[in-house]
Amino acid sequence: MKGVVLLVERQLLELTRDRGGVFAVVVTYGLVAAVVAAAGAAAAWLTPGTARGDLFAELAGPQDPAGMLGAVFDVANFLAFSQVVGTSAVYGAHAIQHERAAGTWTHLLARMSPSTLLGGLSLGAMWLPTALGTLLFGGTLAVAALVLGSEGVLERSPWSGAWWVGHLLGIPTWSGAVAATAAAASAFVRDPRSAQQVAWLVVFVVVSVVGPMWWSALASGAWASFGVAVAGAVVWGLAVTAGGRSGFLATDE
Amino acid sequence: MSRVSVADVACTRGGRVVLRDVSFELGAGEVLGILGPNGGGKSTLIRLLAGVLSPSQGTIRVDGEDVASVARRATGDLALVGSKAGLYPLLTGLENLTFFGALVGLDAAEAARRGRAVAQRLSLPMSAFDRPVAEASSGTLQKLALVRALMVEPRVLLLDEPTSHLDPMASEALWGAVRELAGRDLAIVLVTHDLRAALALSDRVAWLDGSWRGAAAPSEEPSPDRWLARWRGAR
Repeated sequence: MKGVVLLVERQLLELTRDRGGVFAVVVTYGLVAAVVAAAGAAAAWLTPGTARGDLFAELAGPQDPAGMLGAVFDVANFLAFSQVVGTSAVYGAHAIQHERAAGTWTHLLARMSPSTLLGGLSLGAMWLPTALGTLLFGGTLAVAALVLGSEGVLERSPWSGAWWVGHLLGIPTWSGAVAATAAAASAFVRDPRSAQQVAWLVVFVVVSVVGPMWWSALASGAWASFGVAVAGAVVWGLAVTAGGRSGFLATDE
Repeated sequence: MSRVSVADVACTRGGRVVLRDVSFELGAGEVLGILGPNGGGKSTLIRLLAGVLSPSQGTIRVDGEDVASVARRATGDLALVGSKAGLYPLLTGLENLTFFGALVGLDAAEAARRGRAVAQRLSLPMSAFDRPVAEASSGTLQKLALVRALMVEPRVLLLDEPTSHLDPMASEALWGAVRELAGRDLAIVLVTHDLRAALALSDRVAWLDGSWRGAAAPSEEPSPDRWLARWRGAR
């Protein structure tokens, strides 16, 4: 456990020195949050009973404003999941490549087991994206829900317990699972381009399969979100165990 | 008792035998130089001695204990300096030393104290501690790597072509540092392609080309050319 903590601390120190990388993540998340805020505002602006609302209804058919806002928040939560999981996969896939490029892999292998290494590197890879995502997406959704407030919106925002379970447990566990899988796969493929392509494949599968489950769980309550989070923890554990035993990690060549 | 005892070791990787018939004893205070062709298994032997790889046959012991259990304890008994410094470029020299020190149980203050003491012995400027490693020269990096290896007070120091990326001046400085270590309570295994350095620094030199061709004292042959001829004959 101590090895895992040391690896996470070191990765965070390195990530904070890599200001360009952190800037890119913040800008990406910020842009997504801005698009979500704009979509929410547009949905609220097209209120039925106003001239613009009636015109929109005439063009697009009768609309349920609460349903439209709920859909915007659903998409926002899905985007938050996909962005954080995607960034974690990139960081995870890069983690082992980075150790090998720096020549530190042998030194780490001489001091800790491959499973500890994979656990520590995947935890270090998901921490920053998860924290930034929760802050930026959570902040945007909290403000938007307060301004636009309605039943269907509040339960999909930080004003509900399910949202916090989803964001503080569900996103971290699935990010860790994806980071560990991408890291283990990158140890196997070796070539950095292939590693990134594998990371993209892992993200695509998880976002496509788990993303909708995760987003609908938010609206279904805290226990549903907790269930999705536990599934993520199980996959993470399996990825770390399988990766640690595979032998791909246990060599520095 | 020997500090390092290697008996009949073989190593198979991916179905291919990369090393076989390796046996030697090495005492504390001794330096064993290992030379051999590229792909001859020298780096594999170093990884076996570091406990990173496991032999497919034979035993490796450090002070009578299996090397795998010595490595698993992670107390810094085995230290390695490779051809790459193996440091994190965005961290300072001191942050690197602190991180690797913590892996073997040294707290930050103790790692810094020991690191500075070793750096002074190796004539490494203290400025190397405060700057990101990415800004350091190759020679400074390798000295930092040597500081990392020595600050944990190892029983065995493994040097795997530590000067392969260095210019002659930096190489000479590093060899000077290694020379200063000879005779201490430390067994040193030195893998290098630099025959002259190996002959100058080692108590015994050995040839490894997949198989162990034996070790002998440098004084047995005065000229490097004779050594090469001898090893050519052994193949």
